[in-house]
Amino acid sequence: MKKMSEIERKEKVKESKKKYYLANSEKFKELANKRYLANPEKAKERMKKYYLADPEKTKERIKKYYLADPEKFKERDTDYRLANPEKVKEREKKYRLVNSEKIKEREREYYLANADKLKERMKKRSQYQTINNTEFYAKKQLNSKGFASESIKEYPILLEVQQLLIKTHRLTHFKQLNSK
Amino acid sequence: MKNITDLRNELATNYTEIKADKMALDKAKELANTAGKMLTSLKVEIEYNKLNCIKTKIDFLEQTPAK
Repeated sequence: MKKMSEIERKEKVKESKKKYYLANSEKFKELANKRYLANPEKAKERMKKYYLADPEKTKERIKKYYLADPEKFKERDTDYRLANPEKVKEREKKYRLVNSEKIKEREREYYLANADKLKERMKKRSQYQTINNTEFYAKKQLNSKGFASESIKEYPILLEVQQLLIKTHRLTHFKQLNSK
Repeated sequence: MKNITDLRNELATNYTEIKADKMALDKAKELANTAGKMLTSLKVEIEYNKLNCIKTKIDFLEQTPAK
């Protein structure tokens, strides 16, 4: 019988371990959970050690886990955020401080890539604000009618009347549109 | 209608009536239009007083306390 090389032997052991794990995955998970609950600090320390030894490997594993079931991942993340809002805030603050340059660069890149879209959105937003802020709009209309700012300040009731006129105009316009 | 307070109250009443479908839209439009014209005439009065440095009060702009 041909003797197995050391590498081949290791591969075979790895394969059989994997097979055994897959066959008894639930049991393993349960055991790991039990171990974690028995001593969470120790488990966290171990995970940290594992992460520091090879951060790329951990990141890759998380990515794989995310791609396998994004919904589950998101749900877990939301749960964590709801349970630890302060912790999350602190973490984000820290991240912003450490990566401020990176964030700025990312935002700049995003702006350059979507400048037109963003400009359009800002324009729409300012239009929306103008239309919905009747006081501001009323002042603007009174000014365009020829009332000086001092007159408006002297007789604030003018503003109230103009606001009522705007509201009436909008309501009649809306009703007319609906009746068509 | 004696002054701007009456005008405001009138406009507020009209607004509630339009909302409750108790007033014809054409009539409401006309009333609002007329109120707008009244404001324009007030503007002329204010401007006139200003240009002539007249410091008399404009009766229509004097508010009466709300009832």
